Amino acid sequence: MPLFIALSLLVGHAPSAMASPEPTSERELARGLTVVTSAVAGAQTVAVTLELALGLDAEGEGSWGMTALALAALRDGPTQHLRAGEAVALGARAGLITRTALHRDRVAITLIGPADALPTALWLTAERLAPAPLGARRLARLHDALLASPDHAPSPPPPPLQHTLANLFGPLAGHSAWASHQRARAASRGLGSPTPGVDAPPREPDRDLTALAAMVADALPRASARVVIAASPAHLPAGDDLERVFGASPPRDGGPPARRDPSLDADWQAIRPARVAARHDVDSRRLVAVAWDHRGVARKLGIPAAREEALRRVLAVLLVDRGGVLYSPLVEGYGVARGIEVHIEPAPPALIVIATARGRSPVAARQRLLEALAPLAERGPPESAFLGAREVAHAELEARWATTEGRADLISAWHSADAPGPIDTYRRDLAEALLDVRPRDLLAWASHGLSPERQVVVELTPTGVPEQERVALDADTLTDYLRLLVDLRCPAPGRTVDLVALLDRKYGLTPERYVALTRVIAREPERMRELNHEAEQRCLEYRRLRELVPAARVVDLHRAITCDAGRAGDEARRERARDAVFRAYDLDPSVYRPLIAMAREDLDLAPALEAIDAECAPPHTSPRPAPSGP
Amino acid sequence: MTRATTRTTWAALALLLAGCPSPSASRRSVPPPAPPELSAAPALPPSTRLPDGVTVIHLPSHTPRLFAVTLLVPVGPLDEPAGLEGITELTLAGAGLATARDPGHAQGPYHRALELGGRLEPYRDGSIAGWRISGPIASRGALLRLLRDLVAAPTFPSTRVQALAEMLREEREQTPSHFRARGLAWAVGLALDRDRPLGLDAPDHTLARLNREDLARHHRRVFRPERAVAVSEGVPADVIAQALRDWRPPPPYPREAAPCVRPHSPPNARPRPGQAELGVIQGWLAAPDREAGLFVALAVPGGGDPLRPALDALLLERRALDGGAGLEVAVVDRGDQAAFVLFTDDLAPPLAAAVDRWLAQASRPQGPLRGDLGARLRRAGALIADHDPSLRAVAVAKRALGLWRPTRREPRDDERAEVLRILNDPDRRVRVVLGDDRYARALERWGPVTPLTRRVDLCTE
Repeated sequence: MPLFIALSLLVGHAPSAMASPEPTSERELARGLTVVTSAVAGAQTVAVTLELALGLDAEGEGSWGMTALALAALRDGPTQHLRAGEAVALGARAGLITRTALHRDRVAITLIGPADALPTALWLTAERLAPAPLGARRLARLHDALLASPDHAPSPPPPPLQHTLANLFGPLAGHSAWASHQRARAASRGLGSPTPGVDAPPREPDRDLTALAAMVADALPRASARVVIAASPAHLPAGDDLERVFGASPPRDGGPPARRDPSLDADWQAIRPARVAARHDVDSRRLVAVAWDHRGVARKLGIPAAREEALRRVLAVLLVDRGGVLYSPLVEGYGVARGIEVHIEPAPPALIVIATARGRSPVAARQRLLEALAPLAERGPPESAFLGAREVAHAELEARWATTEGRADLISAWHSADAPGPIDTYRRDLAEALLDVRPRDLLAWASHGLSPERQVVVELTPTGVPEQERVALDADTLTDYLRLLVDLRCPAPGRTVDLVALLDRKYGLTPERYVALTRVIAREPERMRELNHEAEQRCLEYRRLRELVPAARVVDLHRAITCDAGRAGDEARRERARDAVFRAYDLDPSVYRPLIAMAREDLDLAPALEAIDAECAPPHTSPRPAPSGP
Repeated sequence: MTRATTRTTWAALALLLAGCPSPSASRRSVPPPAPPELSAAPALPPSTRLPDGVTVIHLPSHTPRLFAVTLLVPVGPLDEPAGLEGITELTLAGAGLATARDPGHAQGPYHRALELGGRLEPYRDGSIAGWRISGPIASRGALLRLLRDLVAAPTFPSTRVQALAEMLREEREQTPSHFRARGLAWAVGLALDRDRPLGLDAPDHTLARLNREDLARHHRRVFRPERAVAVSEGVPADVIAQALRDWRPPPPYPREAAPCVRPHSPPNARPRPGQAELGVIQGWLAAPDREAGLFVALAVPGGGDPLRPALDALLLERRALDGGAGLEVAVVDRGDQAAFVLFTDDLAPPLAAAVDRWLAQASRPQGPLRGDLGARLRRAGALIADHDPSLRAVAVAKRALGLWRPTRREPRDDERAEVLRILNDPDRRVRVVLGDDRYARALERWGPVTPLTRRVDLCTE
């Protein structure tokens, strides 16, 4: 039946209330197309979500980026009755706002707007179910438009989260939404319209993009689809109306299958490393990411899915709330971190905690984070905080369920996580469980769910940031820089400084790194002045010491003190022997330690001093103080 | 062929065409549903004035066993003392550290709220600030008393305030993008005829001199019951009155007789830093190259102005039509005033060409504001914001305070013309460029450029 007849029937049809006592019902309208409707009492808005089973899990070698391109085609591509880019503008004209999302198992377009815009939302959704073919060049432009639209593009997860998810559930090569975007953009690079005023011919699409465009054109009409409609009972379309709008859709045979290896789910412990190094393009030195893989916990403990979700929701509140178990020990006062993010991933299930460390090293923050979480799995949570968190989690669920957008999101997430039974029953079970779970339940769950075996520490190495921004002005760096200033300012008499060799041999620095370090310090004139002043003072002291004992005699002096005097039988005799040496060298004993410290800075003398230490120092003492820190 | 046969043939042909449209015909053959009619804006919900001066506005609660109260006062960067920019944010954060009625050091307001099954959330923007407390009805009394403690008895513990300032300073150092926030603050400040930045975050000089006395003074100055609006979801006015009965207007702070606010100059009263002959004010803020960008700002009608809906409609329309691509465009509210800001990081010569293009497009007769698209989007935005209880409460409070106008109708022709006239008045523009001195020199083609210092003169009290 032509679409306009269906629409005229739909528009002219008086809105019908749901006959079912349950607010949510599900219909399979055509092979591969399911429509879920849910009545939200008192809602003034509608939310219509179209999901295609074409997610990141379907990507692999040769198809990285396909999902992002598919999302762009779904949002802005031409359809049977619309030109490219018309759908969003048409929705806007009816007051509909278009939002997009990329998931591991699906891409989604959600239209949200006033209740009376529902006919337009359904019409646009039906249009998007029948996409028209799209060339590679046009597809690349649509993808760029999607990325450039801040209101509509899916927000990328923070890089630590991306990498943690990738490490937990898929290949590290790029199993994340933003990576998919980046690859699609890389594939389309150079395909945009030529610069205005420049007569350079547009480049031909490269082979990668052409192949990706062909995959998208093949997959979009085939991928199985789900439409979730949330609206007030008065506006919710009846089954006949849905049949008229969506019933003419051609069968959808499912599209490309997921490539994620299902054996990962069964045997994840064997293959998952406990610690990985990941790279991303922002400065991540201070980010601490720890994740726990929760696949199979509920099965192991024999608890229903709704009850486990309730426990995970309460745990999320306990971790993320400023009055919870993490904020006070980690952030308050002069804590080790200045921010905490908690992500509870529904499918596959995981908990990811990301903290932004303060100070010179994230190691202390990670340690403190793990220490703060350990009691949850050993003694359980504080009861008063747990009971409060239970209420908060329940209120949050109720609040989201009471809005059309939140309702559509929850239904989609539960479908994605294969929540058992009808949605309303699952939601009711979850709400009841949220008011019923006890601290001992969380203890039992956390003893498995937060166990070290399930824990993954993601170590991030920043790449793509300017060298100078990677410089951390911590105490060690500043101490080294001061020593370097002294080396340059007052070298040993008769010695010339080969800067490159000095940087390499003594400090392990490249010249570029040294320049970057100097630039960073020079941004703070006060600090630079302090360092210069300190270096000047130290040079004055070195000159005085060099006048007292020439460099050639320092090694002999150290041997006499450490080996000859140090071999005496008891402390009194050693003391007398050392005094004799100092008298022989005509040296005040208080000068000895600064003198040796200065000599150790000399690359020519240091090996000889260390050889003496190794030969003569007592085995229980360290010849040099151990470096502080990890 | 008989007439009946002819009719049958035409009918069959019409049916065939309707059922099997040709590719070219089918592209436009099915119109989408007509857009719905715009409805009138809802009336302001009922309100009550408590004896202590607090205005209580009643909203229905989404869920019967939960309640929420959002207590807000009108305060923003325009109310902050010179030299202490961003102190409103710090005051909110500092009050959340501890109150005089906390049972113990480790049990601050957030901890108390969680134990009661409630959630405490601070809120602030350029016009309004306060807290929202929500939770189960069973804990209503205790949670409302906690809200009272925040507005009436915060202690601002000195050591923790210093630790907070230290943490924010460290965060600032480690966040490169703060240069843009600083540039935006300067652009807004200059556009609103202040010679200082009007940002939300505390700059370095505020963090460096911050102490608990500053926070306590600002708190007592702005958090006064007669200025407050409490948006209630599920709590009767008498219950709120009972919880807030101890909140008495504090006596004027001894040093507040002359508030430390530098008087701003009236428009065109005297030459301003970097003022060019055309009246355009230009400033330069040194920043790393990767943060380079240009802000163009001008004063526009504030949130409560009758022209504001037309301005919002223009922005929403442009964003919908160009997909948000291109320039970053925003209206930044500061109290009852507002600045229209365009930002571009495309600084290829000629500088600001993209901005000029944007403004030229906006002024075309056949350009934006030609229909009701903006009004529809504004209505949709308001409805969607209603989903978020916090935003809904803030919108209602702003409306009660005259800081927001909920018109849903299509802008009239005279309103459109006036908005376009404001946007295209070159004498009202402010340009602030971020980056190294090359960009400052590039900006000089329009007139003198003044370096914007990061430190303003401290107020002489």
